[in-house]
Amino acid sequence: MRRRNALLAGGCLLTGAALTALGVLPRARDSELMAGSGGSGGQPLRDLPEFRSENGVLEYDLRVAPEHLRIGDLRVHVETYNGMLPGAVLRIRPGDTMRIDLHNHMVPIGVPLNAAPPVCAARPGENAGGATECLHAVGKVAEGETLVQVMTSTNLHTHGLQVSPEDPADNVFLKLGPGESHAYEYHVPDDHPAGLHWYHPHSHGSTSHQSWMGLSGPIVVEGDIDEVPEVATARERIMVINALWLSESDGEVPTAVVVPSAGEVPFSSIPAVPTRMVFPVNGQLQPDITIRPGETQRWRVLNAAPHRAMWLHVEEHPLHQIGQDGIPFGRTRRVPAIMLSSANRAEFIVRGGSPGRYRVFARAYDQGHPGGERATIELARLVVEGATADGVVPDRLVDPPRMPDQPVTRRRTLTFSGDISGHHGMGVRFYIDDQLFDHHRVDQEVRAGTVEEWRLVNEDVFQHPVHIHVNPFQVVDVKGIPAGDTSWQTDPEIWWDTVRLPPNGEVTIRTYFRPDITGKTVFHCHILPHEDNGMMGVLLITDGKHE
Amino acid sequence: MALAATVTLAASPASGAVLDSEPDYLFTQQHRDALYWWNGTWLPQTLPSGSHIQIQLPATPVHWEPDLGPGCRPTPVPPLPEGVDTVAGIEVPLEALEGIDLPLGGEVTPLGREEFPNEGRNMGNSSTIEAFDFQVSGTGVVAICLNPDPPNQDPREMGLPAGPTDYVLTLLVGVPQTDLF
Repeated sequence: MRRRNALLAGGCLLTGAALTALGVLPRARDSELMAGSGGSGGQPLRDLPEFRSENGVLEYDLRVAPEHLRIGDLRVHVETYNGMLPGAVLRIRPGDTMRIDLHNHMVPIGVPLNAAPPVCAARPGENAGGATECLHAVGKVAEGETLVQVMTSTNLHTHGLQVSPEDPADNVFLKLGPGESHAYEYHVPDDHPAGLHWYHPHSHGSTSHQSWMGLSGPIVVEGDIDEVPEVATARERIMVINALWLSESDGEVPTAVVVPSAGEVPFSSIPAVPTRMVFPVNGQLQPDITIRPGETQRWRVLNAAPHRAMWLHVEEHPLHQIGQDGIPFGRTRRVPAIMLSSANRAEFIVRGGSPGRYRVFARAYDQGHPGGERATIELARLVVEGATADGVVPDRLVDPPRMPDQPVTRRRTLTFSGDISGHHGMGVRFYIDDQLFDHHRVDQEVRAGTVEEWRLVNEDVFQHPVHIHVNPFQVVDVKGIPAGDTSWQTDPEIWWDTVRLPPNGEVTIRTYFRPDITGKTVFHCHILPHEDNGMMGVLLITDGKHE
Repeated sequence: MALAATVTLAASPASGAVLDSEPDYLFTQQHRDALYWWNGTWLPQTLPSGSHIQIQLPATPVHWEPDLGPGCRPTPVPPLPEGVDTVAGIEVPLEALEGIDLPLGGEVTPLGREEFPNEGRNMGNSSTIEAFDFQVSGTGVVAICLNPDPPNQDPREMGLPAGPTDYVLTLLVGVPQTDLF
């Protein structure tokens, strides 16, 4: 709950407690839930259902459809993957084929009834000349571009997988309307690193809306690191952190134009509706994670929140990190906390300390949102109890992927900026190189099999987490980390698929575009309201034969 | 680090007035009347009686002062463009639209104000957000006005969308909303 002091007009200063006593502050509207705490916490953390490839093939039917769910003492009505929030774990191995049949059974939910929808609104560059503009709404319906149509269109992105971006694989340019299906097929390369990846919707314009419903699910690529003895014997826990933005009236995500705001709930909408933000872990509010003193557990944590960075801490327990964004380390790194921007994954060993209950939380952090620092989120409790164990934290792990020893073919500079004032039209606008996303335009063309360095310049206070599809990268330089901010990992050996940019700073990344992956894909900010509002570019990876 | 949030009650709340820990409805500079993108189709959104609302505006160096006096009126529906007198072939009675004066019926009670940091957040030259809490009650149309101090003629510099440099929010109060299930 946000702490407030109150100053009466007569000059008398009263505390919040005193105002409550006067009947001025009579209710704290479930604010503990808004911070991801309270509710009906204390349930044992549940394991997500799993589906594993057999004989090199995983076939899975994925149905997107609305479901009434109970999260803590909160009833919600959201679109789900096969009725679950989050979706099931898919387990594959290098060399496997994964087939997913995606079926869109979404319906329009969360449509505010307290105002006429802004169907006649103009976009930048359009003539805002008067009521005749409303005729454009007819064209929007025909093109499937009304808000309700956009929000009920979907597709599937296999975030982190090094697979083809072309149909029928990781093609994010598809747009499946309600009633439509698509058969995806992914061929996982033999040298694919072992680690945690994930699947989620990626239809431009509705990614944030659908992610605020919790549409997400883990993909585990198994491999060499699973055979490290200390890792193999540690109990595995897969955790998906979601952020659900829910209407107070019906527990649905507003189908409305989103605008950022200050205060505890970081977004409002046009029209405005009362909302709250909740942060479940595996669909539970503040679950208990039990561990024995001295026991080691392998935690694989995914931040599937579309907007909020999670600076993950486990009270009085260091984190022994063994991988980042699905790619294992060569040696274990002991760290006090791990920053997970939206879409980041971290894998680490936790060793149970003294018996007791310890907070698992995302520490308050200013990621550039209006209003400054976002509040601490209580995610879960680590419960240390039972007989003492003798778990061992590994030191040496595996040989991580190596950047090929070849010269940098090309250096590029990309600039990230935005405008949240509404000056350019309703809602917000976010740009790469001063341009909004256009799927007809190729923004960067690269050649498969080459190494490039991209300098990502941030002209914004927002710490944009930049994600490049289908090829990971290493960070070779970072400028502009705020003084005293200890949340950054800048070791050039770490591989990432999503890295945040310091406020008004820059990051230089080095990427090897695999020779076996060509086609058209995207790079974008993974604060998904930014991606939906323009901050995405088209990347064409060619084989060089037609140059 | 967040600035210390303070709430100044402009007046003692009327009997029964509620200062919630959080507002029910959040409005920003993008919710005001007279924005060009509404293209003359603007209608006020509805709220139930007793709602606690908050208006957040980019501020500093400009500061905002509430004005709930008789001069605070809903923004009139804008006229059609010059030379246009029909929409989809239907003649529009311009004189009925221009300067329409909605009858006011609801009540607005100031609850307080607070300030958030906002340095460099791409909202003009502003470095803070000023937030104003109100309770709206009764039945009918209410208008809430906020005026910049000092006055400024450049909405972009103030972090506002193109249009007027004062702020008018019009709401239709007294319309029940659905409850959770």
